[in-house]
Amino acid sequence: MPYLQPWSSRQPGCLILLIDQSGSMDEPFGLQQAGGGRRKCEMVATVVNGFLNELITANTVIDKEGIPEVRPRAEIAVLGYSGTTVTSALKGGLGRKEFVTLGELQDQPLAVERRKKRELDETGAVYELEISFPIWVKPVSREGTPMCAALRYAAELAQRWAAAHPNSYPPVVINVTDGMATDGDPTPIAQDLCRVATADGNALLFSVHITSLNYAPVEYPATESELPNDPYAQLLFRISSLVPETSRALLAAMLQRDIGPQARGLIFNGDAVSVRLMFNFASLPATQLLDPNR
Amino acid sequence: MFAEISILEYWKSEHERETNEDACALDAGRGLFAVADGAGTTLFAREWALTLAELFVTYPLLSAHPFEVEWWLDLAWTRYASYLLPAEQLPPALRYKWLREGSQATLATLRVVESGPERVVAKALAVGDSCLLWRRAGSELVESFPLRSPAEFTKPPLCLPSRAALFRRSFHRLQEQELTLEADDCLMLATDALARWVLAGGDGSLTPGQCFELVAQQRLTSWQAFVEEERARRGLADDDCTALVLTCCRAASARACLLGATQSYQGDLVQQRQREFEEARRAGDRRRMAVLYGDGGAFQQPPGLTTNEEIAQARRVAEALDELLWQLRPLLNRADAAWQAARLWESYAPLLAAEPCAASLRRTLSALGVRGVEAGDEAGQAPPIRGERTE
Repeated sequence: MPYLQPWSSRQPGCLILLIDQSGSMDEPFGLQQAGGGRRKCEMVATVVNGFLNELITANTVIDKEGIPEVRPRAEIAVLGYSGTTVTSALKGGLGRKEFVTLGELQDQPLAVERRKKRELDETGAVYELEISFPIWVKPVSREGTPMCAALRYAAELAQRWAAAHPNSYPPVVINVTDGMATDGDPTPIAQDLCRVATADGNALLFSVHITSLNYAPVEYPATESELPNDPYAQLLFRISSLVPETSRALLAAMLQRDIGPQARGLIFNGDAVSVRLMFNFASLPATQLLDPNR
Repeated sequence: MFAEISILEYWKSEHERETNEDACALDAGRGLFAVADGAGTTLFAREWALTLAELFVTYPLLSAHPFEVEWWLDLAWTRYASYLLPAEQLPPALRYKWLREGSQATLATLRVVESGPERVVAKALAVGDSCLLWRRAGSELVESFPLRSPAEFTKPPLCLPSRAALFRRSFHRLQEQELTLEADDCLMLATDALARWVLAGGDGSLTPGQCFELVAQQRLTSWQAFVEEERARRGLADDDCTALVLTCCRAASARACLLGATQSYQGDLVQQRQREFEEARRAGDRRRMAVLYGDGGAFQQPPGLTTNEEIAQARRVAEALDELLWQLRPLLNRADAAWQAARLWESYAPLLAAEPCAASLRRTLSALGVRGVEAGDEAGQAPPIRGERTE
């Protein structure tokens, strides 16, 4: 059965985030959605940064002397696409590498924002905590949506990674976008991407569409009829991978509803919460046992 | 009754003995056995799992009553805090995670309450997906507790937290199971990967009974090879794999030891608990009284001058305080925290307005801007503890 290998230090996983940085990402979210009112590019950057930080801390062990070690369980690429180009959305030394490890991310944020947060102890007394928010990705929005080029580059990266890690969980690609590709039909390129394989299965392409409209997100649809009557929504449905059987039950637990065998890794009209949940779902093999009995 | 006991421990491929996040402990002479599984996404998971397992065989938890569980966890929190670094010494990026999540672990325990020549009566307590599995002599049927089927393992397990502020009495419920065992009956306490593998019949090519038998035949010396082979052959997950296996037998042998029993807390622990209860009572601290009283089993009857009504009132106060804290926490950093807190306080004020155990909370509410809240934390301001005296 495919999709069983956990992301581990010896057999890491591969996560490729594709972030639409086109001009329309400068528009605000629907006001009634989670994250409403903020610019879409800001919300996506915030969610990506929060997710990367959580992935790092979830894979950090610490000994009794207080020495932390980030387990190298994932290799990550964060690509931004706009105009006619696809480039790393990471900066500095990180931006020059195809993939970065969790440890490298931890060591080289662009900046670290610090905020105070009030917490209650078990007696009801307040104490203040300083929380670190490392920043790796900044909001960007300009020009067109070269999604085909982004998927093509992701396929090349995934191919090289799979060749170097033939027994690992296959690469997972998440494409976060708010619009149509401006450089052609992404369907054949997405199919090429999903033909990349390791011994544990074919690469997975999950899609997150975000919107400025006040529509409720459609999450993990099993049929096209669950989506609005919109050719773009149907295209995203067709290019998105099925949710692997081995993680369906975990996704169902996260969403607190059943997930059918035909459910696809697609969120249409996503908001801040559903985007974050997609990232968490895609990285489940780093933190949860997958279900070998499915 | 005697028992042959095997301790089986092997870890996931990226772990070593020192980083294994499972723990087990036993005291066969007192009939006490425990396995715990630290949640690897939390910090110091191994140390917390070890704390829980070792505490159980030193000072066993005797019931799943929510207040009794909290009293026992309080012992665990004290032990745990004493040998870990303070949060201030952690790197800043991890300090928040540590204070927000603490360490988390599942736990499955077995306590023999009666060990006669023909039968053993035992009580199991468990939380999460660490399990007790058993098979009767001559039977193929494998029974399990608290999870009964492989599908149940797909949900994230309920874990015990290492910090009091993360414990919610109404949520962190342990389950209880009583078992009567006879000669040649076999049981095992196992952490999740192994328990799921047995109940699923490996990759489906075996029966649960066959998988159970395969595990029961192992010794510590063969365990590593067995686990590695079953990972490769029959879908045993690459996770820490720990089991305590007991086979009951009538006669002593080189491998069988006498199985003792534990029916009550040790005297020194009971005396200390009763002393602390009296101190809490003198201070008018009803929350602490409720926790120290637990299920009442350590007291036989309401201690000293205490009445049943007083215990019931202490529990109501403790429940109210904890529920209010749980509801207040997520509101604390909101712009409308004062308004939200005032609405909450209206519901709980009748019980908590004058309770010494809620003094810190009242100071917090007052600082937030909630009107009409008096801290009232001087001992003299505590309302007298009322109730019909039993003396």
